Amino acid sequence: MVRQISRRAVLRLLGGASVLAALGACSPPAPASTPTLAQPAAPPTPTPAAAAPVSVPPARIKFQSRGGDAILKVTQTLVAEFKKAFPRIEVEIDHTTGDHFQKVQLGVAAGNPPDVYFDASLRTGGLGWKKGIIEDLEPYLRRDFNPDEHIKEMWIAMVYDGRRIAVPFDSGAMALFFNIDLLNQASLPLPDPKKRLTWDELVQLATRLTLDVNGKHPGEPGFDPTRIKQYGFAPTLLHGHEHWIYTLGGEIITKEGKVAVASPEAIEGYQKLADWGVKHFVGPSPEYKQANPVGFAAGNVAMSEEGVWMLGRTNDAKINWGVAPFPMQKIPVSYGHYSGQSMTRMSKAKDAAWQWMKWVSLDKEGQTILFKGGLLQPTRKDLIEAFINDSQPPARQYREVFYNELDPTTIRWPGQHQNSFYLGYRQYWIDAWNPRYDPVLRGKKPYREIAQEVQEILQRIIDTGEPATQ
Amino acid sequence: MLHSSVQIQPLSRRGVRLRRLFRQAVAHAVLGGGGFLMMVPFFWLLSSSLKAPHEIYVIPPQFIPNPVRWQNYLEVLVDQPFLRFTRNTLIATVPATVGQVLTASLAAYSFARLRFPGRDLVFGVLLTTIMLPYAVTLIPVYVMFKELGWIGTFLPLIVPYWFGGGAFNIFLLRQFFLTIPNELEDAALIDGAGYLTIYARIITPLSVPALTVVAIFSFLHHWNDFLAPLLYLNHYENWTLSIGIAMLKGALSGGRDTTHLMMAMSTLMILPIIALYFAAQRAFIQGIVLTGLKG
Amino acid sequence: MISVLRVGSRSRPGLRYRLQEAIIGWAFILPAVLGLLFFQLGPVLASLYFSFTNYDIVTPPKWVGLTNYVRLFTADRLYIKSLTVTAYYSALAIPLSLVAAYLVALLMNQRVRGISLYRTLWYLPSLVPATANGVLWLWLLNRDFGPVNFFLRLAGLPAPAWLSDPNWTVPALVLVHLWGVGNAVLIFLAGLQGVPQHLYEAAEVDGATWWHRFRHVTLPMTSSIIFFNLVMGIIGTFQVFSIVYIIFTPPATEIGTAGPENAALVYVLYLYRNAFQYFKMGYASAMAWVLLLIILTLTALVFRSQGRWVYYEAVRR
Repeated sequence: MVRQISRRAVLRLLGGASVLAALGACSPPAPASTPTLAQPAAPPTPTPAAAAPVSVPPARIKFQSRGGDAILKVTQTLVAEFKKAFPRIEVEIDHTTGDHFQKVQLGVAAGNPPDVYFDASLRTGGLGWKKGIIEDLEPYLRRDFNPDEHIKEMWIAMVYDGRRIAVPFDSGAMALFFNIDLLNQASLPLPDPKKRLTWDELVQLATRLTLDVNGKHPGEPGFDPTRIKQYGFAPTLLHGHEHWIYTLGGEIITKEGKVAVASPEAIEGYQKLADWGVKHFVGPSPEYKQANPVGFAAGNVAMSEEGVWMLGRTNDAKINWGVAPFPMQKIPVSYGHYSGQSMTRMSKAKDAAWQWMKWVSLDKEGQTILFKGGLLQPTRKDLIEAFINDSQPPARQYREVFYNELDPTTIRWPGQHQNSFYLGYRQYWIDAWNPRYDPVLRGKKPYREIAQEVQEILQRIIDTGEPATQ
Repeated sequence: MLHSSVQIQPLSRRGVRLRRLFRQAVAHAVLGGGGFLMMVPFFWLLSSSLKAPHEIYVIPPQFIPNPVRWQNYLEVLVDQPFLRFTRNTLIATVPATVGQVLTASLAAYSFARLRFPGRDLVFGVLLTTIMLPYAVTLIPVYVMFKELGWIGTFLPLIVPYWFGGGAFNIFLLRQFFLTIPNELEDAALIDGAGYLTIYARIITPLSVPALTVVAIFSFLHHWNDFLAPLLYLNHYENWTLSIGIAMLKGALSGGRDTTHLMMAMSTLMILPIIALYFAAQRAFIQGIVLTGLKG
Repeated sequence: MISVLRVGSRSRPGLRYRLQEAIIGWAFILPAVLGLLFFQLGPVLASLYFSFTNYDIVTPPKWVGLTNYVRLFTADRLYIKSLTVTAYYSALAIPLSLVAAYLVALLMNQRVRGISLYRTLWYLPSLVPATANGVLWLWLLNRDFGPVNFFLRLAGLPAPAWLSDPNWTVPALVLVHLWGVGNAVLIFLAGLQGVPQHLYEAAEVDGATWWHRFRHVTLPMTSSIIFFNLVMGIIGTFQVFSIVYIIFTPPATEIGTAGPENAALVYVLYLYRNAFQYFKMGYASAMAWVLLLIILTLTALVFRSQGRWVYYEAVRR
């Protein structure tokens, strides 16, 4: 039995395909008209800019945003509102959800990068600046930025080699989140938002809050660390984890530019970080964290060091939660960072691009939209009250913690002395750091065994500006 | 081909039936048991698609969602521009698939059955191009499309596939075409048929399983393609389903966790392929029987 | 093993026919050749050029000759690591997936009731889009509560820490790869369907057993498809990237983007890092061309061995 494909069928197929191809090929680049938005929580209509908008010639800029759906919606709102304030500047959104930095680089190579892009400043800001992709914003900031309107500590992760290269778009402070219901269930006192817990206090709390599937706590006979149902305390292993070293009086990068991760304080601090899981059994193992990036929001981690960017997700999960500052041992230490929008050096519409950046990231209208969209902890002082008094959880006394933690006297970050976040080399740093610290996290080695080697490799990275090759 | 030294065994009818039953039982056991195992990731996808986001990762894990959140699918279909994503994905997929099947099979036939100078060299070069990771050709390709003015359109996703569409399919079909005996072709040539006729009337019908496989692979590749739409379809009006899914990845969402919606959209995205695959089974069920050939 | 190449049985045609055949031959491959020239050769040659330069994407490439190639093999231990990781992965993945796919295809070729359903079940995992797949497998391979270990414990087998134990990371990746075996099964199935029935009938008439029929009919008649899957297996597994990238990308950053202790630092992942995270496109291009040479050599070896085990019904040489 032999099948025949009739000529007519083939022609029909070809015809259909050509029509579809024509459809696709002829679809014009979508007009930059205001798209309809499906927003669950509509942002307040901002009052029109009090000052008359700077007279800017008509221009067209391309803004590349990144991330997921929620960010796209916020970006669309920003564009719509910006247009009212600056009708002669067209903003085209290019939203890239995958590797956004790759796309920026492709644009640079092809000669048409976006004018502004929402960068993962802490990871790609440093190299983007050093390699010449990002424009220096100092001239613009000196002209248009009024430091009195904003909190003092906001440029962390957006300043490299002493130059500010991005303006805030998302993130903010980090703090200790705790699950009120789980603490109440265990009849434990809630942490005081105005006090920092000591390490010992934290161990005790966390041990009582860790339960395996049979309801046993660590230390009790029969406790099975591989069948833990609820973890007591998850420290941050990435952002801001350095506080475990700073609080002992240690340093990560000294004033002289020396990497100090093999100092006694660092050895103690990094070991403590791993001990939460390895020794006390209260912290999630790396494999748990791998598959479960929202442990606190899943309700099975009682206390967790998180960033304010987890606020929305935690509320979505209907957790009844509170906030306390980071724990301390000798010195009070806090952390926070902002990721921002950067301008490309190749941009041909820099003035217009700056107008956009300033309006979105530094002015009240833009920051309100970013804040209401769940992206940004406002840096503007006149929005602090709005953030603290927001109707969504957590309660007011907890929300204050996020601003307390941005206190310049307690906030610490590597590269602070040089006013250059990780001296610009964070990408190389974490690629060399992670595989070496990993066995410590899993309890296979004590940190002191690898401390010297790691320090040498990291030192070489910041001295040569080259990634590690071992 | 056959060793003539094989003994002729007297086979009882009962023995034959038992042996066949045994084979069937083994087949059912392995296919069913293995099939069940293979389905575990899919079960998990389905189950996650019907949960609230924070329920997906609870300990101990729950396979059966409770309660079952059908509204996830409603949310995906209503809140997300699902129909637009689907339309765009079809625009990116169907023309490319048709072009790929046509040009690849034509080229494969030529490589397999015709003689011409440079044949093996060209085939070798073609095959070599897929040995180079795409990361290092990304920049020149992107620059080329930019110079052509195709960035922001569907053209980079469609046009290249009307020009052979890659070594994989050409190679695959060449291997299949090489298994077809000469006799049919020779008879047709003697009757005065041209090569195009032979290709369309003889080779193609005989290769329906292979062509179906290529069509399925091609469709699947374009349907699921993420990188090309990401790089070339700049405006969200043109986005395909694969981008839509990535947009819902929980960690990227800023304010909200949308992992459950991502799972729901992924499930919806698979359904047409399952339907297509099921329908294409008909091409597989009947083997090809060459009649009129003396062995 | 059968090793007969049957040459075309008709006598050499005259010059006019040969010319006509050559013209038609070129005409049929013309679209593919044009595609090759426009969409592939240019970029491929550009990358070859880049491999002899330092190219940070922002400034024009600077010629450095063979420096990149030399550095790869003398000053980059991570590169050597990526080579060994990838070789290990391929050494496991290629034979396992070939054999598994072929066996499954044999089973699928039976006239068993509900075969369409089975075929769909087995093919389903290959259909899950990559983004979702990565998230899925992270959970499936969770040491304590993932379903995979759940079933392993049920069967009394060891349940390792798949993605966080460096010794089990590559096997975990191979496992994920095997789940996608449906594609190869499909190809084998098409090949099995193409084996002429009359050969089986003739064999049965001669009284051949199942094993004989398999060894002397099925295997040789599908050898050209086995050959295809072997070559594509080599080409594909050496370039493994997406699944590693998706599984180990943040927020799983505590483990590092290349798995525990770089256990999943596959070749193309290290290449990708150099290309798009370290601004070393020239260096990455050199890596790419070394990979091409490796794959080309292996493929050429397989092609050379064709004569010994691949049976083609018709080859016109």
